Parts: sequence; structure tokens; C-alpha cells
Amino acid sequence: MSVVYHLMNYPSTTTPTSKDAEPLESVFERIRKGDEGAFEVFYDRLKRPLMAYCIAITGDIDSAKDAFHNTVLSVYENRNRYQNVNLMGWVFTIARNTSRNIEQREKRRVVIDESHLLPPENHENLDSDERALVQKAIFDLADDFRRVILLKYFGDMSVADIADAEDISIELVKTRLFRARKRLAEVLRIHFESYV
Amino acid sequence: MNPLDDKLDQAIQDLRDATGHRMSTTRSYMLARIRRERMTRWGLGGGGLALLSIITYFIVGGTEPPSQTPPIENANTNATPANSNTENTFSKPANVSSQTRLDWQKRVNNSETTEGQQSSSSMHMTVQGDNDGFIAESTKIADDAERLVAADELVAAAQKFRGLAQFCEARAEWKRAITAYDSAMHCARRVGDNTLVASLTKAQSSASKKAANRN
Repeated sequence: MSVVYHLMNYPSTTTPTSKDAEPLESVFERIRKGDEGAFEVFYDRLKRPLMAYCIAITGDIDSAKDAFHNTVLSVYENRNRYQNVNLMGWVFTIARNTSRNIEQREKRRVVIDESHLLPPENHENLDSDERALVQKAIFDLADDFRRVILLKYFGDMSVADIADAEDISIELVKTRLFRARKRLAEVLRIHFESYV
Repeated sequence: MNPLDDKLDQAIQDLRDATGHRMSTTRSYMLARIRRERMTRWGLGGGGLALLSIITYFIVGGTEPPSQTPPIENANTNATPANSNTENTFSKPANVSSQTRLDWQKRVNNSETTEGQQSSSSMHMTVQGDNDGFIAESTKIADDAERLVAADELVAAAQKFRGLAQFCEARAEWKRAITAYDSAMHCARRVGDNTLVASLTKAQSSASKKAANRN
């Protein structure tokens, strides 16, 4: 089974903002009123997408952690400034600006060398070099592609939610996902031909 | 399952494993903050005043204790049950800014400086008895750091304290530098940033060695 086939048919996952759950706008309104439980709901829904986004922009795990923490703080501290237009867009704008500020401060961009790649944790039949290579392939993607890939697979976001977060059309999200998957498949196929 | 599919899944899982602790820490921190704000609205919480006063005292290196020096343990007694799993965070008493500013006022007046208010004035301000502006500038930086602490921006506060430590090191003010590193680590531990703590520990150790070599 080719890598391209797999990536094109990667199963969608339940998103944090599925229609069955309370709308995020409603949850956020409760946060504004001081509802601690609402914050927990809001946070648990958005923590992965936000972390994915911070990783995608900073290109570095440590910087992404700082950016994530600062983003959450900023969203909370500025909760009364939100003007009920596009909550996801607003939150991810904060994440983007925070991540870029940290990225510029650290004065380094995409992690390429293996020292920034992550050691495997308790996985069987593991080849750490190969896992590192896959991570590298993800980080080597163009910015737009990397963001949608991480939001989709790390953040478990739906195409619609990614469109809101990026403030782009659903069609454009789909196009970027398609091209990103295709690019990843090409890169990985070259390296893993022996596995096919 | 296709081994290539495994590797893609594992790569994403690696990222999740590496960031899971931070997500958990930030969650705990924010919930503690929300609860603390709720308590503050009801007029509770005051341990942060003592903590901030003590930090200010050590940063500027005054020879007299702050106006109010309740035991540090008082800060811990203000922890809510919900905080028990998280390290105690700074409380946010209503009058912390004015009190700590009075402490700074006293110290800078003792140094015969004209710097009596927080401002963004140049670090090159000339003050009587502080010819190179070190006291004025370090006070300003400490002031900024404490504002960040009071605003619960502990990551930024840790960075600001680190900057203060480096500033002190450049002036060979080793004691102040070491203490500033302590404050930075204190903030970094509050948010669970172990990487930053490790970096600060290393820098502080280096400053300590330099101080020992000078002696």
C-alpha cells in the first residue's frame, strides 16, 4: 500500500468542535462570566490545535511550548476584547502573533537538525532514525502546508475549523491538505522505498 | 499495518508526548489563576505582597528589610485546595503595586536618585550617587519584572529577571545577579518550564563561579 494512498485517505477524527458539543462561542461567553468549568471545556478542546499551530509556526518544540502558554494567557486576559466575529480566527491570530514574536526573539526558524527531533517514548518496533526523518519531512514542508498538516493530524481539527482558524476558505484548506499530503508522500517514498 | 503509516502516526505521537506535560501544566496554571482571581474579587489573598516585596528587596540589594516582611510561609497558606497539585502561584493583592513602589522609593531615595516613578526613561539617566545609572536601570528592570509577575505573565517575568541578572553580571554585581536568577527560576518553576529552569540554573552557576573567582 503506497504512502500516497494512505495519506490521501487518512481518516478524519472527531474534532474538538464537533456539532454535538456546545458551540465554542457559547463556551467562551461563559468564560467571560467567570465560569471555571467553561474554561476547562474551552481549553481541552483547543489545546491540541493551539499547540499544533505553535509548533507549525515556531518550528521548534521549546519555543512552541512558550508560545502556547503565552497564547492561552493572552486569550484569557483579552477575553473581553473579543468582538463576536470569528472566535477561532481570533484565537489563532493571537497564537500566530505570539508564536512569531517568540520565533523572532529566538532568532531561529525551522528545526532541521536531529538534535531538535524527539526521542521515541515506549513504542515497540521502533527505528528512531526513521521517526526522526518523518518529523523532519513534516517540518520541511512549506509554512502553509505544515500548518494544515499539524492542525489536521496533531490538532485533530476538521477542515471547517482549520478554515476558521486560518481565515481561509474550506476549498483552500482541502487544496493545501492535498498538496501537503502529496509532498509528504513523495519525500517519504524516496526514503522508505524498501518498505513498499 | 503499513509500516509507513506507523511512522507517520508515531511522528505525530512523538510530538504529542513531548508537549503533553506543558499542556497539562498550563491548564493547571490557568485554573489556579481563575480561582485566585475569584478569591481576589472577594478580598482574599495577600501572600503575593510579601513575596513581591522580598523579591524586590533582594534584587535591588537594599540593606534594610521591606516595610512588610511577613514569613514566606504565609504565601503558601493562601494556596487553594485546587492549587495543591500545582506549585503555588503569585497572589494578586490589590495594593501590591503601591506597596512595592514605596519600597523602591525608599531605596532609590537612599541612593539619592531622582528616579521616583516608573517610567520608560533612558537608562542613561544620571542620578546623584549612582553615576553610571546602574541602580536606576536595575530598579526599572526589576519594576518591569514585578509588573509581569503581578499580571501573572510568569514566562515573560522569568525572561525579564534573566535579563536583569545578565545586566547585573555585566556590572560585576554578582550577588544581585545570583538573586535575580533565583527570581527567574522561581517564575519558571511556577509555569513548569523545566527547560528554562535548567538554563537559568546553569547561568546562575556560572555567575557563582565568577563571583568566587573574583573573591
